[in-house]
Amino acid sequence: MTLSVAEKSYLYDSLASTPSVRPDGRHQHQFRPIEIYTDFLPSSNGSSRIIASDGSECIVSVKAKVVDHSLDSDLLQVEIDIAGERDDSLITESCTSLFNKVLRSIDTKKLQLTKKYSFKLFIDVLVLSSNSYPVSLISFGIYSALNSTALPKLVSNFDDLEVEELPMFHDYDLVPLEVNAPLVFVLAVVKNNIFIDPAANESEVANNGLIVSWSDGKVIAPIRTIALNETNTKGFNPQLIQQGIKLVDQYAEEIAKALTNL
Amino acid sequence: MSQFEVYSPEGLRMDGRRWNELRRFETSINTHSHAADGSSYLEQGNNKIITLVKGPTEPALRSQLDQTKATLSISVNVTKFSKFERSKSTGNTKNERRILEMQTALVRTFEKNLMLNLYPRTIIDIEIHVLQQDGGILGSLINGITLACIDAGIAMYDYISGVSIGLYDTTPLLDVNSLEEAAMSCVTLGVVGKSEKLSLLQVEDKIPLDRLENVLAIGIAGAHRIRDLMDTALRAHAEKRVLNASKR
Repeated sequence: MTLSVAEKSYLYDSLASTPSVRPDGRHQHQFRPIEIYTDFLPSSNGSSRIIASDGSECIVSVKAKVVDHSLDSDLLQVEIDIAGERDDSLITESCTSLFNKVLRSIDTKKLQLTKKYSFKLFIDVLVLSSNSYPVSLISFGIYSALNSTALPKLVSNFDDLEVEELPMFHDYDLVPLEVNAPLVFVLAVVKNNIFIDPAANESEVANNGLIVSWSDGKVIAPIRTIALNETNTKGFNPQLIQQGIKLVDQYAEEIAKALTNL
Repeated sequence: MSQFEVYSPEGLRMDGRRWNELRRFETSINTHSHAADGSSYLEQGNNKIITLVKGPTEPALRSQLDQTKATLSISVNVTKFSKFERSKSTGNTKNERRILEMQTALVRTFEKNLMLNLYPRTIIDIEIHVLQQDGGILGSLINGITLACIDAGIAMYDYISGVSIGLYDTTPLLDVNSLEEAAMSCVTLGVVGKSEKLSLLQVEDKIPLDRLENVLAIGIAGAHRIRDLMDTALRAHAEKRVLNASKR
């Protein structure tokens, strides 16, 4: 997004003032409206499509495969593809590594089938278009895709070490996957104020950005800072990190609930 | 009838169609109005395809600038989750030879159909995302591009509709799915409007020359039907748009 000097200064001043005014009149903790559809890809175990009000869109597919977990202990694998970006571009690689780290908070015990075999989940993310930093959108997409995931029902014995058999599944019965998927929030720092879910124009004037992850009622690692733009980035008061964490702590529960009740 | 019988003696295919029947064909345009100038979403059987047309715009690179006509670039992104089994390739799927060949075929087809001379010094960027595939993918890509270009308002001579036809022994089968595609040799056609002109003909396997005429005949008839289906969908959409515009 390109803004003129005058627009930028007006935006910055209104965001930095106390009380702050966001260009679309949102509260500090308020998200823009989003639209989510789930379970529209019959060949995947779970899927979701999420569209933000600015036209940013992201499609997530969850596919499962049976693996021997003594050979392959990594049971969750995220791959992110951002349209218009190369696979080895900075933003794609940093998002992929972020989500591979964030999803380690998921308890992989739920994926274990037998003493030898587990489901491995392949989470493929396609970002069709993004106007602001997409990680929050991606995390909502992954959250709702995981919540809509159903896996084949095991009918053979759990203890397969003695009988050396491959797991057998029911012909059509599926069991919903119940995991506590983490959420990731992007916050923008403008002077001494901090905001959740910055829009493109807010990102353009932000002094810094903060990525806060949350899972199961508490803020978890990783917490990172990111530069949301190339021109305005500065250092910020470390107390703002605490403020950001508090903000996420306060509202994440409600957001998770809204996403679960889909 | 056995589940794996491609074409039964009673004349039914695996999914219950007869030899000359198309798959379910559903389409909508202007689906991503924020992200692109023209967009379409196409479901042809179990193929699900999103097409985004960006442009005509000023090219980012000087090398893409042509003084006499618009540069057409088409990128096909076949997602890893598009097939029933997730594709195992660890590397970049975008540079696979099969995909690159499809892109070239599509560019050559649409270069002749879009009036690129009307948009000199610009680039028209077509981005295709294949969310799910089930045979006859090239034909579906053609249909998706046609619809998205119409939505973008790019001048073109006529619709191009694509369809794949298989030849099972002596019977041509219209609009093959992935199981049929794997079992027999197939031809993909791109037909210009209601004419019998072909703008694309792709034959990847051997086909007896004396049978080809039959195959082409049913292919052209099927493509005409697809053109009509696209036309109906577009007109229904346009009617809604005009109605909304006149309300304001």
